[in-house]
Amino acid sequence: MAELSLQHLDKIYDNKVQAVFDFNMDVKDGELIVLVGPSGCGKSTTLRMVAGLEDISRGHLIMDGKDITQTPPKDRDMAMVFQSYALYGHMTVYENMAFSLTLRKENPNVIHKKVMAAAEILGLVPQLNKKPSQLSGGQRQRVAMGRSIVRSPKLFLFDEPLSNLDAKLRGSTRREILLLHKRLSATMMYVTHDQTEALTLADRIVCMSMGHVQQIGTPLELYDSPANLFVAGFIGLPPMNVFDVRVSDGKLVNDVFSTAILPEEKAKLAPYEGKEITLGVRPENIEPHEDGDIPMSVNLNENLGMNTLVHGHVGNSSVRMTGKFKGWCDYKPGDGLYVRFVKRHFFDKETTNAI
Amino acid sequence: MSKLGKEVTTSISVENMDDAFIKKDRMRFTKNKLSSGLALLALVLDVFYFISLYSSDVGHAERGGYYYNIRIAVSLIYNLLFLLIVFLCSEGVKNYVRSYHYVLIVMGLFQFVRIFIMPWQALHFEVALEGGGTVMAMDNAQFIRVCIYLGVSGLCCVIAAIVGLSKCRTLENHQKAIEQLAGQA
Repeated sequence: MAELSLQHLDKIYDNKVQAVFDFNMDVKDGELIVLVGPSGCGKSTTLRMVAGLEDISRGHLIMDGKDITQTPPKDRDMAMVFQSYALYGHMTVYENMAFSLTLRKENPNVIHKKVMAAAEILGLVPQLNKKPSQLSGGQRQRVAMGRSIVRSPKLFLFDEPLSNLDAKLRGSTRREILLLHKRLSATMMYVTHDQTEALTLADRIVCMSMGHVQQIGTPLELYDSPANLFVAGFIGLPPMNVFDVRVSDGKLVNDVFSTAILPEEKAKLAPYEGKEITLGVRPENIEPHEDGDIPMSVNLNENLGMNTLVHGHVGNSSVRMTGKFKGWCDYKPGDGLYVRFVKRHFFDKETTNAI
Repeated sequence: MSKLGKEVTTSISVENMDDAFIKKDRMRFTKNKLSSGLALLALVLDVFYFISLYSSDVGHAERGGYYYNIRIAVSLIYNLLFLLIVFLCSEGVKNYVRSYHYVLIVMGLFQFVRIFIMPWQALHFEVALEGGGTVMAMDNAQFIRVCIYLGVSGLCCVIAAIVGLSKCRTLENHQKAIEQLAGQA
């Protein structure tokens, strides 16, 4: 397994478009790092730079203390799993998994041991004599992973491996990847635009936007203490509700509601007295309450079983708000209720950074 | 029988097995490329035989050529059948299907018999030339050449089948052994 250090990585294409800006990160041995962000944010480009499939314009890539910035992909000892599986259609599962080792002219018995061990881990033994066309999407992706495992690489790279799968299969394959990570204790880098995948898989998440790293931290850190408004909006489903408010005399005030600043919030909001800030509240931190100070008019009631998503507006304004209430609710469009915010996040209006 | 496209029903750990066991176990997932390759070589040699056989046809006083009779049609059809059947057999033996091995043996043995049909007769047939005089329909050099083609082709078929049958037996015994091992586990 390996430790990886990405130092000031930049990617500038020939047409002068910069896709990645000053990417800095240290990946610890056995860690599963998830790069998450919207399409075009530079996460796949970063992964491809690590794999050696894209040149690094500036910066250094260090693996186990050795600079591999200019090392060709084949000599980096990394294995990459692609979204499109990239399996050989005319070969059986066994042959696909054994292929890279066969090219290296390894002993056939050693190859067999490695392939069988990987197939056992991935539950692919019954499929070994089948061709990829006879397998489901999830099984094909497992074959692609098996092909990586047999190589025993220092680093596993996953480029949106679950994007081609349906929702159910995505869930089960995601759990398999997690179990695989636990079992192999391998260092992995995983790219996805799905924040659920990021939250469930990652030891640490790198949230990216427009080529810039927005925040690096554990899933809980990103969820509970987002560094800025982008991270706050991107992580969490449904996304965080945001309201423009003014800090005024111990209260957060806007045109439609006024709510008291809690004692523990006073210190950090003190510099913003009289200024506009952005208030962020996660849907699950909104509670219907008789004594609530925020009026809400309901537009839509979505029952999810254990929870209910209630969409609406703040009072009679056009400011949208979504609450995730516990249990089964049955609000009708037009119903009015009062809610309170259990936990709140504050962001500087100009910089969008967390306060 | 382990066969392409079929589900592998028995799973055992090979981690602590010896090399001989692993070598046999590999056969469950790898094709019999040796037998298949030999069968394809037989096929190629048969094509050479076919080309070589008619290359020396000489003008016949009455018929225009020694080979211009019903036999050339039969020979042509048989060659096409041989190509088709041996190709199918090469795929069958590749996947350890026993029945194809027996067909391959029959086809191989018949290649030897074929030496005594057209080439042998041509070797002993004197063709009267239009301008007078006679010539043998096939000279010794050509006869040896076509005999080599047919003989080696037949030999390839037979060896492919024997090797394949041996591997089939090994694989079947191995399958039984691992089923027992899996049962014990």
